[in-house]
Amino acid sequence: MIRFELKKIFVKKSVWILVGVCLVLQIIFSMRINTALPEGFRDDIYRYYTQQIEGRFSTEKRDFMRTEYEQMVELLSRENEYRDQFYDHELSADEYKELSDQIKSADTRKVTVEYLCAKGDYYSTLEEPVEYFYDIAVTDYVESWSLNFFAILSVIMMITVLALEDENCNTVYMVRSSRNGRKRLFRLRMILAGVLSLGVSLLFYLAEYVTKLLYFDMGNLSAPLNSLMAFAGGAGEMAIGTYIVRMIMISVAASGVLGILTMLVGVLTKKNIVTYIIMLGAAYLLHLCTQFIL
Amino acid sequence: MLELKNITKRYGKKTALSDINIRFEHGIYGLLGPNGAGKSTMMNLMADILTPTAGEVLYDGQSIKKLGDEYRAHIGFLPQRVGYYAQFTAEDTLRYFALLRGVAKAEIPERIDQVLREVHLIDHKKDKVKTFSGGMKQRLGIAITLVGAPDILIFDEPTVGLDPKERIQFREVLQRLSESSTIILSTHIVSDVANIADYVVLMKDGKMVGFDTQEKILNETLKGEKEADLEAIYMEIYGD
Repeated sequence: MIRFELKKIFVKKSVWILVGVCLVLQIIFSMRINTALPEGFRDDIYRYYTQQIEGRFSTEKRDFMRTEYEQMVELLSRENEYRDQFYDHELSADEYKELSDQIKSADTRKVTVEYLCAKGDYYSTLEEPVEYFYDIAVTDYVESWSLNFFAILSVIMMITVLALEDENCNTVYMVRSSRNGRKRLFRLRMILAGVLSLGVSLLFYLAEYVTKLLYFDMGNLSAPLNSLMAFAGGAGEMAIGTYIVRMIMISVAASGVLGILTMLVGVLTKKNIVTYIIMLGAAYLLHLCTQFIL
Repeated sequence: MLELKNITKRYGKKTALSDINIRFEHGIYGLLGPNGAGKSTMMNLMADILTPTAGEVLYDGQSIKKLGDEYRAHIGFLPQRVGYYAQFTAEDTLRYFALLRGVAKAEIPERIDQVLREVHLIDHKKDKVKTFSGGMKQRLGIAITLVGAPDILIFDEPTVGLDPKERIQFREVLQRLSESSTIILSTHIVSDVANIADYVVLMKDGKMVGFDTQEKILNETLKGEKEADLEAIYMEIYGD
């Protein structure tokens, strides 16, 4: 019977189209950085410095960044002075050009280095070991985590078909007047709803993760989660990778619950549109709950 | 043996069936009555789709609500508005319903061929249902009803959509099946009942206004006033 229940879903072109479109959109959206970085922040400069100080945090590394920052501030504060010296012919044209280039470079790097200094200050407040690494993409990935809308839409669509195809095809009386057409079929469909929801949502979360891995530098996933400033303390020594796996598992489990709920709502309401509306509302509530848990 | 005991069914204030008492044993029973007479409600009660407001449906003396799955293993029901999974083939459809009806997996291929031969659809076994005509779909519905080899066959307006040849074939199928099953069919087409039913149940406004063998109904209802055929009786009871 499992084969036929699945066939009812997968012979529908609309299901394939919706899941396909959602998957493509998921991949496209995974190629974006959503977290807002400070104005003037430069990704290339951040990458350069994190490569310089990569690895376990130490006060030397923190002080190195502080020194860099202080030198920049110093340089920038003397911009007018250098200009006056140039106009007073105390500096040659070559010397002034070199200083101007340094000032320009400092101005470009200032926000990014300031960010790294703040990070060093944060690291120095922690007792657990933390690591410097290029973490822009992974910070964005974990910080902007929420219940996957595309996965939820696909789950609701597929499970509604599973729940209501008999109603829609007018076979419900023939099914319900059969020996196995009630409790046994209902149990089977509930299990299928759960398993299918887990499978489909896992596909979407993996698509997102693999896209991020391929498209961005996800950095050191074995580094402690506290290394990400977004998780200021409280994460213990859990690795970033472990946290991602945990988030995926919680979200996939939430989708499984949503799939089973969709099945129940479909059976009770017997209407596609009512099921969609109720379940999208329930998905929003679940989204708020998972945000709270995560 | 199926028995309806003091059955009443109400939908809100409307009474669809009122205090029905009837016992179905072996043979073909034709429920005759115009639209709204309560035939489909009665069929749905016997198919365990509806629950009576009062009274109970008994199978071999036990309430079908208590028997549950065990009772439904004995029935085949073709509802009035029958639908299909358009993308399934005839074989898929029958395999699915055979599984739902608890047919042993090893017996299913043989059962499918048997019922498809019975309804003359064996050459369309691999065809998708969406390519079937209305008559072919109705015959497939009949095949679905038969696939579980039930003791009791309940057909609600089964000949709707069948052409005259298909209708005759359907009657022949019923006559063959009546040797081993109890067949209950509801219709508003008098000739369907006249040609095959052993017993006639006349329904009007949710009440049973006549129940006997066709012969007795014909002999006793009009009492020789007119030429005794079922159509004349129908007109006598239901008017124009």
